[in-house]
Amino acid sequence: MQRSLRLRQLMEEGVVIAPGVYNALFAKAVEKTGFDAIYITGFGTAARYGYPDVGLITQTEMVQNLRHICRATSIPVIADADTGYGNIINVRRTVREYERTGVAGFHLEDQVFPKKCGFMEGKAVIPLDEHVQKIRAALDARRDPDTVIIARTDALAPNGWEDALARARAYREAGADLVFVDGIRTLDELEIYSRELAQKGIPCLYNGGLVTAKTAEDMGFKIQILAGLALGAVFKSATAAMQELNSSGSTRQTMAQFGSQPADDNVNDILGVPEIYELEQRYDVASEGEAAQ
Amino acid sequence: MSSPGARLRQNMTGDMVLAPFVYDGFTAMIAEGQGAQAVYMTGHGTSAQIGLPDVGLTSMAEMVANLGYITEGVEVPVIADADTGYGNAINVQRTVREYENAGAAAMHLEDQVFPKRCGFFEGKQCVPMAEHVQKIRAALDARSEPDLVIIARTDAVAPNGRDDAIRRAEAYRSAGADLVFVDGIKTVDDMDIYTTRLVEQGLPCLYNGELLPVPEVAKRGFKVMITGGGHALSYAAVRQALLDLKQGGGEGRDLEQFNTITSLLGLPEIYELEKRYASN
Repeated sequence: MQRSLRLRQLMEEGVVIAPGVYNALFAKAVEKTGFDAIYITGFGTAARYGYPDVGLITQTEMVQNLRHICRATSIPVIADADTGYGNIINVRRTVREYERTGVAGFHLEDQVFPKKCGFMEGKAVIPLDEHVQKIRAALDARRDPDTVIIARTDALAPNGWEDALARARAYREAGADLVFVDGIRTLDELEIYSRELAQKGIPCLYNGGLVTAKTAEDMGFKIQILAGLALGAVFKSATAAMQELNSSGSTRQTMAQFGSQPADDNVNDILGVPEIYELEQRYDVASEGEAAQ
Repeated sequence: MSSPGARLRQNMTGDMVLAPFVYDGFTAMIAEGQGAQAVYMTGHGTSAQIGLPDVGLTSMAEMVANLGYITEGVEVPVIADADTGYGNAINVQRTVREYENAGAAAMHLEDQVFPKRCGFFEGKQCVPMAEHVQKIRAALDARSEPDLVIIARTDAVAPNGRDDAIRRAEAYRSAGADLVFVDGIKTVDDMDIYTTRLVEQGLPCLYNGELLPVPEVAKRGFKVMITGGGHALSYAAVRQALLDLKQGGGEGRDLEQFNTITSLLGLPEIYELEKRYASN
């Protein structure tokens, strides 16, 4: 089954939890630990390439990362498509390129290009009408009618609730499958989001971990993404490892603290090393020693 | 500013150079932020982050792309895994030029048959010693500046035994390799032999592993040590965070951490630049 259709099915069943990761290895971990969907964060993808999330990472780099991730997994992948990397013409190409990677859906935001992370200072948004056109263009560009197009608004911080709500409603009106008000920092804000949109029949995505999956579902959300999950875990563990290396010359305690890898879920197995050995046998690839001098 | 290779050579004249494992821009910046004097780009981790096992499936172009992100992200010298050089001596020469262009300070070339596999996997095989001597010569000749550090790695311990590994390391050094690197050291016993038969005979050596703490490896006279959790630690930490989330835990992120991460990635500098080039 197409992942896009699968995502739509999952949304019928209840809130879809999509932990945020940014490379194929961590995406495999999401699948292996039994989640229904994977969220690919633009913030994390930018960090992977060594940059802050301020619109420096190109569509090409995002697509390349998604290709690896989709090849390595089979559950639905929800991706960050930033502003669509330009105007409506760029949005069209972005939709086609993203679809070819195999993602189930992605979100397009109403920030000016180059954008900023939803939680950073200094965001600015384009006029509502312009983003409505981008959403229309995205819907028209789909080759797979099930691809889930998520319209994100970043208007809350720069323009306030009234504008953010007006935008979310307009984007839904234009045909977006879901809306996504980003930059929700408090439970109060989350409650407004729920009351004014999610509970009024507009399918909504919530980005954050202020509430558990159960509560998010009760509040009416269709998707909850936890964009910073992998980034935070990597930052914490890698920093601790460096500090231990500096102080005692090894990383053993850190390795123990962050959980050793169980026999049935270690890096090499999850990447398919056992399957490689099987293939070598099946196709009679020279065994050890034969090619040695 | 002097070349990355020259800076690494400068570092190697002092204490042992410790280069923690990194596999992307972010982990390189974390290491540098914690004071690392050099970083090591792992091929195993580079493959893992694109979802592949370390069995020679990752291309040279993919390695170079990752290397470029890492060298752009940090100031410290980057020591890079160059596997077998991705083919014969001709491929090796292109690999050296591409790595040099991507900003590598050092790179290691191993004597496994292509396609290779991780130094700690079963079923490794080596090309004849003479063939790898030629690849090392080709690599040295291909450098556009003499500072790039060429590290000759041998994987012969597991398939051929210690004596062959020692002989190969000596031959690669005689061919002009700047350092030698015997990989797949699994016991302190092997480590002792590596020390007495190569390091103490005056060969500049690299040690990969965590059998001994950093100061003890340094005391033995190794020039470079590559170590650390790398992507395996990250995988374990991400896996743990996912399991915690399953148990009803949250995102494990707070505003303070968010701000620390964005600072590390250079957001304050971006805000400065926006002011400097503001048009209104």
